[in-house]
Amino acid sequence: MNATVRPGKPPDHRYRLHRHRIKAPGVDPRVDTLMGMVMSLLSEVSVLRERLDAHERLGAAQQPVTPETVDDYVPDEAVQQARAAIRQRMIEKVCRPLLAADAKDHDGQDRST
Amino acid sequence: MPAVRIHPMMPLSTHDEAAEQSFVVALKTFLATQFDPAVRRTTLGIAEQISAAGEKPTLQRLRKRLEGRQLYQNWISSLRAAQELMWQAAVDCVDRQRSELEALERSAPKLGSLHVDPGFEVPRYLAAGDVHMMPGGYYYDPPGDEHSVRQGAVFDKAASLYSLGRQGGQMNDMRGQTIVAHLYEIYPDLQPTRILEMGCTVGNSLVAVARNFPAAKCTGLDVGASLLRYARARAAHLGVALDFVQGSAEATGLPEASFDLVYSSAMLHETSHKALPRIMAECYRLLRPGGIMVHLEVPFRAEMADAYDLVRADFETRYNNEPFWMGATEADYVRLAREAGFIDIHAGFQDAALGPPSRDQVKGMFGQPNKGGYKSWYIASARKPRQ
Repeated sequence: MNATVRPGKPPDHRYRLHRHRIKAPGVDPRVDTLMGMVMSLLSEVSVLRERLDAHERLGAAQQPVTPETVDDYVPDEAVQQARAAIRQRMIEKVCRPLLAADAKDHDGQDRST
Repeated sequence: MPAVRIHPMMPLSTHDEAAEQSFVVALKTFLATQFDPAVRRTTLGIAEQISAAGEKPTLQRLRKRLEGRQLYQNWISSLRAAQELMWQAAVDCVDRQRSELEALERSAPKLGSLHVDPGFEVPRYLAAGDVHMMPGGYYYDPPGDEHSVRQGAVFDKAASLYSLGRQGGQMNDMRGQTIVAHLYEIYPDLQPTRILEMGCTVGNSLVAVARNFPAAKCTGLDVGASLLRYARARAAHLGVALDFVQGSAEATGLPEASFDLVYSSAMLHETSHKALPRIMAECYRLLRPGGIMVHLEVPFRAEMADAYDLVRADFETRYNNEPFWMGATEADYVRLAREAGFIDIHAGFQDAALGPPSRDQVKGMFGQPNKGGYKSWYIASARKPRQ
């Protein structure tokens, strides 16, 4: 997700996907696919959130807000920490249902068969 | 461009790429600190049930019961998704600046050398699956793309993300420093003038070793031309002259008795049962009489593993494409070294060196209890008889 994308060599599929991805027993392949998509989407939201943060901070400092100034924006230590907190909250929120399965596994029901 | 460039070959990140990479690190940290402990609790609980039933909690029995658990299924899926995201973030960043990186390779100082073998055949254990899920693995080099540094750049960019910066930051050289600490303590008489690293990847350990032994001529061997092209340029930009050769650790093609020190750093677990004795024999052949062999490995031994350790190792083996992870942690390196003809054999855990070690501060770093990932490494070392 880059504001400026320059054309390069056409992607080679050997560079995009890794060789040998086995099916995990017990894991529904459709859930596995969705997991990959949700995590990728969350990554994009996180990037978008940081881009918005750069907009807000440039605006607050009455600096010009253009694709170039946002690309060149360098977050200082305090801004990095603020962004890390937002990122952490997003990850915990989205991943909460994954860990909720831990509680289900401890409710006394045997799901081992 | 926000990133700090630790050396000129390190791919730079745009604002958005840095945000994406920070996300991957945060996600992997979340999984390691929140999800792994939950799976540990569940696994140890299952192991207790198996033991209570009078059976041994073997990996097979654990897996059979875990595979029905939603928590375990989610864990596998999310770990794989995070790993795939990490590589994608590195790949996208490198591809955007591929031509600049190739230009930097061409303009690198004329230090060291590179010897690639267009007819080289990659060992099957590396060609069958892309190790660590890295697209293209260690070896891929597109036909006709003789200037590619892509696999090296992707590996270097991702390496600091992969270990969450705990292997020596962006220089990623903790393992090299740890090997030097081991040599200083166990073989204090060694003054190597010719050093070989097998499985050197982008030369991050080799640069550290070379800087600790500035009088030595250092050679790095690995299977990928793109990886080595990047490694040569990376070292040269850092002002270190290293020679790189494409080849297999089982049969390097290098002259016999031509090195004082032959070592590897987290390479053996990327090989195979059949390869291990061949690599030991090749080390013996390459060393001059009295020369030293060192193999650093992951800080994990199968015989010391609890139920969760087994399940975690199983993930690496099956899903992170490290098919020999388990085998390497079960291997008897003392026996293998002895059978290859070595003497003065040592095997055990070594405290990690966080920076260049000094000779007067290494006492007692070897032979310590395992302190865990990035704090300890497993090392097997030995000497070729002087006569």
